[in-house]
Amino acid sequence: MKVRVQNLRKEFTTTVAVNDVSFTFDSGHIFGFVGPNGAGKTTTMRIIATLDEPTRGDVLINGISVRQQPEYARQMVGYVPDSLPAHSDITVHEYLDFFARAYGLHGEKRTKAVEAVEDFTGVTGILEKPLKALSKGMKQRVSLGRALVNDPDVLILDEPAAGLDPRARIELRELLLLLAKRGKAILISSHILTELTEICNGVVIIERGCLLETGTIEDVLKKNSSKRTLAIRVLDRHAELLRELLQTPHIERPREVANEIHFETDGDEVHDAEILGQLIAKQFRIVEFRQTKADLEDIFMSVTKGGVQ
Amino acid sequence: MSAVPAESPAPPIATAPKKRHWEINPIVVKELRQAVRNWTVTTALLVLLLICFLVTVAFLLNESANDQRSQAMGSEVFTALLGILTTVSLSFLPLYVGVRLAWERTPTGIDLLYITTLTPAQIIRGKLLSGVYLAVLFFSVTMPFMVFTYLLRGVDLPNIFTMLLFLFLGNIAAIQLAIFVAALPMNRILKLILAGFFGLNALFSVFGIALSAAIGGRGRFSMNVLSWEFWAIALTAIGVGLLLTGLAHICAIACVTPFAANRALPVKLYATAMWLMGGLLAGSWTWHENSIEPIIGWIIGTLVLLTLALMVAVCAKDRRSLRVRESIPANPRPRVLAYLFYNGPDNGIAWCAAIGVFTLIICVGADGVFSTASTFDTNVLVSTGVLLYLLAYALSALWLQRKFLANVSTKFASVIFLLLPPLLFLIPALFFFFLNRLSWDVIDERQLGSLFNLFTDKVREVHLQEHLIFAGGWLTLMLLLNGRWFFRQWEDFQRPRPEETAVSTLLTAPVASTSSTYAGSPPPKLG
Repeated sequence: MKVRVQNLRKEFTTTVAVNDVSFTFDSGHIFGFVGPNGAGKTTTMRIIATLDEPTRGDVLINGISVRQQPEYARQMVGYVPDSLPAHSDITVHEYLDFFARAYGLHGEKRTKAVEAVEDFTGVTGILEKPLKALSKGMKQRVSLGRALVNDPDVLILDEPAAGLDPRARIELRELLLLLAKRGKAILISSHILTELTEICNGVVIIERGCLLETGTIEDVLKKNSSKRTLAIRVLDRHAELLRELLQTPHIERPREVANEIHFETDGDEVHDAEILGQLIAKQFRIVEFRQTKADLEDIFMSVTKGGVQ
Repeated sequence: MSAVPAESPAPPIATAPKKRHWEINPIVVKELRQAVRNWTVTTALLVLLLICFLVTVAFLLNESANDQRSQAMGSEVFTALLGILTTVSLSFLPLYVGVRLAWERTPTGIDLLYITTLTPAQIIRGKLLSGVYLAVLFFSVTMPFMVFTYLLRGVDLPNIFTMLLFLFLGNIAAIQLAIFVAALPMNRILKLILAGFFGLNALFSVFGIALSAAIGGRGRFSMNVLSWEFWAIALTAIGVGLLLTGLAHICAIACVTPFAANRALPVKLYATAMWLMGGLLAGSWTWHENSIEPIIGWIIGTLVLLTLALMVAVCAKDRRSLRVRESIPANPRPRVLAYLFYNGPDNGIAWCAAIGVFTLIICVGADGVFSTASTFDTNVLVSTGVLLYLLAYALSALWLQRKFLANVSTKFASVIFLLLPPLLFLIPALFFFFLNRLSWDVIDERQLGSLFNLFTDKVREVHLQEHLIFAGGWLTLMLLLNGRWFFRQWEDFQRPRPEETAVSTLLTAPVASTSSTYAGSPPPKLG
C-alpha cells in the first residue's frame, strides 16, 4: 500500500492553503506530518481522506485517485479528526456499530469487526457508556476505533494526542506502533515532536502551504546536517574520555549529556567502528555505543521559519 | 521511503465494492437508537397518550351527564383527537428531526458521515425514514382512540382512515421540509426562524384543511371518500404534494453533497421532470374541466420555481471543480445539453431561461388548442414580463457582485437579487411619500422596472407593452454587460486539459517539488 501525494494544491477564496506539495508514505511506516499552525496540514489530510477536493494535483492510494474515485479511495482510508465524538444519546458500542454499518459491513462480518476493534482499542469495559461521559483518552480510543472499523490500509490522524494525559499518550503511541506493525500506512500530525520522533520512521514538514522537507528522519537530518551524533556511556573515566575524543580526528563538540558523552562526527560507520576499537583498546569500560536518534525538533527548527498564513 | 517506484493506477474494478446485501439504512438504526435514549420522544409520546385518553374520557363523561344521546359524538371526539394529533405530529416531529440534523451538521459531524461509504442520498433518506418511523409510532398511539370513535357513531371507518392517510402524508412532507431547512448551509438561528415560519404555516394550513374537511355540513362527516370526484381532487393534491416533497428531498441531498460534486445535476433533472409532470397534470385538468385555470396555476408555480432557482444560481461559484469538469461530455452536442444541468451560475441562469421560454411556448400552444379567453393572453404576457424581469434582476445581481463585490462571498449576489424587486417597488413609493403624494393611485401608475407593478389591473390593461419593452431592453443590456463573462464560462465548460489531470506524468515528477506554476484554467473574468 503506497500513498502518493502529487503536486497537491488547494486554493480557498484568496488563500493558497496547500501549494504544490508532494510526498509519499507506505505500509508499515508512520510518517509525522509537522508544520506550524495554519501550515496546511489539516487541509492536506482532509484531501487524502477524500473530504476535500484539491484545486490541482492528486493523491493516489495504491494507484486509486482520491479525486477521480473518492468512493473507492475512502474504503482504504481511516480518518481521525482533531475533534472527539461527544454524543450524549449514543453508547460506545452503538457508535462503533453505526460506523461499521455505514461502511457497508453486515451480519457476522460486522459483529466480528466491531468486536475486534473494541478489543484492540481497549474499550470493552465501557461499551454501554454514552460517549459524552468518556474521558478524552477514551474518546480518542473510540475515535481511533471508528477509523479502524472497516480495517483500512491507510490511517490519517490529525492531532490525535492533543489534550491527552501522559498515560493516554503512551497508550495511543503503543496502539499506533502496533498498527504500523500490522502493515498500516500511517500519517500523523502533531505538535508534540518528541513523541513523533519516538514513533515515526519518516517526516513531512510543511510551512505556509509549501513542502519544506520529506523523507526518513535520518535522510532529512543528513540532508540538513552533514554530521551525525554518537553517544557513548561508560562506567567511569568520563573526563578522560572527553579529552581522548577531543584529540581524535573527525570528532567535534564532545560533551557530557546526562551520564553519557555525546559528540558529532562527519565520518561513516567504518570510522565509528575505528573509534570504538580505539576506545576499547585504551580500556574504557564502555556499556553503550550508539548513534542518537535524529531529533525532529532540531530538524523542525532548522527548516521552518515560523511563518503563518 | 521517498524513493518509492512509480506505480500505475490500479484499475477501478479491482477495488470496486462488492454488491451489498439489503440492510436497514444505518442512519435509521442510529436515529432510532438515539430516539429511544432521548427523553423528549418518550415524554412526547406519553403526553400524547395521556391527552388522548383524557379527551376521550371527558367527552364520554359529558355525554353521560346529558339527558339526550348525541348521534354524532364519534365525529366530535374524532375531530378533537385529529386536532391533537395534527398539532403534535406537525409541530414536534419535524422540529425533532430538523433540530437533530441541524445540530449534527457541524463540519466534524457531517465529515464523519462523508468519510464512510454512505452517500448523501442515504444520509437524507435515513433521516426521512427515521422521521417516518417516529410518525408511525405517534399515529399508533392515537389510532385505537380514533377507531373507538367509530363505535360512538357519526364517523365512518373509511373517513377515519382517509383523514389519517392525509395527515400522515402531510407529516412526511413536513418532516422532509424540516430536513431540507436543517440541511441548508446557513446559521442555526436562521434555520430555526425559517423552520418556525414554515412549521407554523404547515401546521395552520393542514389543521385548517383537516377541520374544514372533517366538519362538513351539520357537524357530521359528509365527504364521500368513495366517490371519483373526491379522489380526483385528492390524488391531484397528493401528486402535487409528492412532487414538492420530492423536490425538498433532492434539494436536501444536494445541500449535504460535497461542493466538489455536481450538485446541481440531480436537482435540475428532478425540477425539469417536476415541471413537465406539473404541466401534464395541469393540461389534464384543463382538458377535463375545459378551463384554463390549471394552466395558469402551472405558470405561476413555474415562475415561483424559477425565482428560487435563480436565487440559488446567482450565488454559485464561477469555477467548477475538477471532478465536475471531468464528467462534462467531450462531444459538443451532449455538452450543450449538459451545460443546462451542471453546476455554475451561468448554467443555472441558462436552465431557468430555457424552462421559462418553454413554459411560454407551451402556453401559447395551449391558447391555440383550447381557444381560451383574452384574459389568458394577458396572463401569458404578464408571465413573459415577470420572466424577463426575473432574468434581468438575476443578471444585474450577478454583474454587480462580480464587478464591485468580487472579494466577498458570492452569496451577496443572491441578496442583491432578492433586494432588487422590493427596492424598485419601494423607491417610487418613497419618492411620492416624501412629496406627500403617496396614494393607492400612485401604486397603480406605471413603474417601469418593478416586477410587482405588473400585477396591478391598470398597468396590465394600459402599460403592459411598455413593461415588456423595458424588461426586454434591461435584459439585453445585462446580457451585453455579462457577455464576455458568459463566453468565458462557456469556454471553461469543458473537460480539463491534460496538464490539469495527467497523473501519469506527475508520477515521474520529483517527490519534493515546490514549484508554484499554476496549470489550472484561469478564473473567468467579468467583461
